[in-house]
Amino acid sequence: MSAPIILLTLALFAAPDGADDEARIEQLLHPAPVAPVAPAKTAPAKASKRAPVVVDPAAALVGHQVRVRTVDRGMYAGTLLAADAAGITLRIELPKQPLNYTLPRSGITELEDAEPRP
Amino acid sequence: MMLYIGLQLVLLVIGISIVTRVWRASALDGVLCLIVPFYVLLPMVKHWKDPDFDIRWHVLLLFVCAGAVVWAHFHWVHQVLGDSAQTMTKEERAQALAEAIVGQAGDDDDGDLDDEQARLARYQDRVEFGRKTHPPAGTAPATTPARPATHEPDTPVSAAAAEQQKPLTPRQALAAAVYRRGAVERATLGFSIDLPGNFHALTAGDIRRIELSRNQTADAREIAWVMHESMALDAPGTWFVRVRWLSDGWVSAAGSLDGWRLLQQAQRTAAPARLAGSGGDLIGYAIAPGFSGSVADWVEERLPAGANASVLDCHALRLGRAGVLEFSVVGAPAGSQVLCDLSVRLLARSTRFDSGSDYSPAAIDARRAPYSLVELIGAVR
Repeated sequence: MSAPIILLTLALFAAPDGADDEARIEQLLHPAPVAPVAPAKTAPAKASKRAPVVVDPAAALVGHQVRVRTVDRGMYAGTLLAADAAGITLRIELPKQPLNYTLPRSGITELEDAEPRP
Repeated sequence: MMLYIGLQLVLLVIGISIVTRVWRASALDGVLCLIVPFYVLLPMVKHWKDPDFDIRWHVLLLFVCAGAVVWAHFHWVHQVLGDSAQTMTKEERAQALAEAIVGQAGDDDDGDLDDEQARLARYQDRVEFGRKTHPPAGTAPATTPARPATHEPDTPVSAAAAEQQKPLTPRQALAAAVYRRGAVERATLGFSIDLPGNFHALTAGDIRRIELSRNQTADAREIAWVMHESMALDAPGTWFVRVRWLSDGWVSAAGSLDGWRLLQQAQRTAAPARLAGSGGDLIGYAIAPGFSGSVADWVEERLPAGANASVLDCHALRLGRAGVLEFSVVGAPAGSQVLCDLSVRLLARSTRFDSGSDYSPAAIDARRAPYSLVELIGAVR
């Protein structure tokens, strides 16, 4: 008696990957309207408290050959030209001409030095 | 029309005079003349040269008039058809032509891909109503034999005929396209693609017609275009999945897909083009190549030649025993990598090969393709 119930439950929960992908595609094609977010009440900044100084590790790689991985399983490689809070700029040597390419910082998951180590 | 009615009246008068004469000789013969076809010949022979009942000249006149009526009838029908053809609007002609081609395309859908060029030539012949056609640049010459030269003089082309020779406009070609749902089947190649619920597809015949109307070079490997139902093909920024069959044989998937190495190689050397793509240079992988369950998928960010903005080419490959089924979105807008990768991967996973046509890691006795999966991924035009 219990076996059919267990199988039915499994069948319900173990939906095929295709169904998930289809739902995701619909979601991406027709995104739900985003409700406007009320501006957060911010307390007046205290002048006495200083923001801690954060050293950007990417800054140390400027001029180096780097490899960048992105949140979507992306891969980019090139020479790091600049790095700031908004993004990084790579110089990618393409067969015909070099290209300066900017990646947003929010999309980067990993930035590693690709220079051959001595 | 008037000639036809006049001849019919003459025929009626002759008939009445024949029956009257025969009736006077024999009422039975008169009735039978009315009922039995060609019975009139019997009383004609019976009363040959009889001054009271002779109907020789009546019968002769009857046959002459009957022949004239038949001729007048055909003449009138031709005239009516000619008039209706002249009054047909451009759209009606295009629609009729499109329906004729769609009918042909439907018949062709289960055919082999090897004769795609011959089909293309046939469609051109149809579209251009027999005008001498030239294959589009870059395509192989049609395999249909050339027509023998004749010594007939050239007939002048009328304005209506010249109008008919115009190929379909892109709008007309799109309007005549038949979108299919459910599945795209290629029985001769041994696979079937189950279309997701909100997707529909155009098959080879429609694709050729649309490409011809856009003056694009036909791709003989293309078997379908699959798109979301909310995407109009003529809308700006629209994208669709090109489904291509690479019939080169079994492809080895041995070895790991090292994205960094593939990227480095693609940026250093120009590999031969095998997959559909935007051309230009590879900037990077918006989604790195991955392989799972005989499906490989990845998204390239490319800078097409002469362009100042990058585009995405999304690819999924479903390996089979005799070849590879390619699903590609070409020139998708930057930032849409997740959507287009999901779409091509979903279609690749929705492909079912017949038993014996599905992929196996070992080639066994299958013909081997001259490239491996790694080389195929790296060789994007």
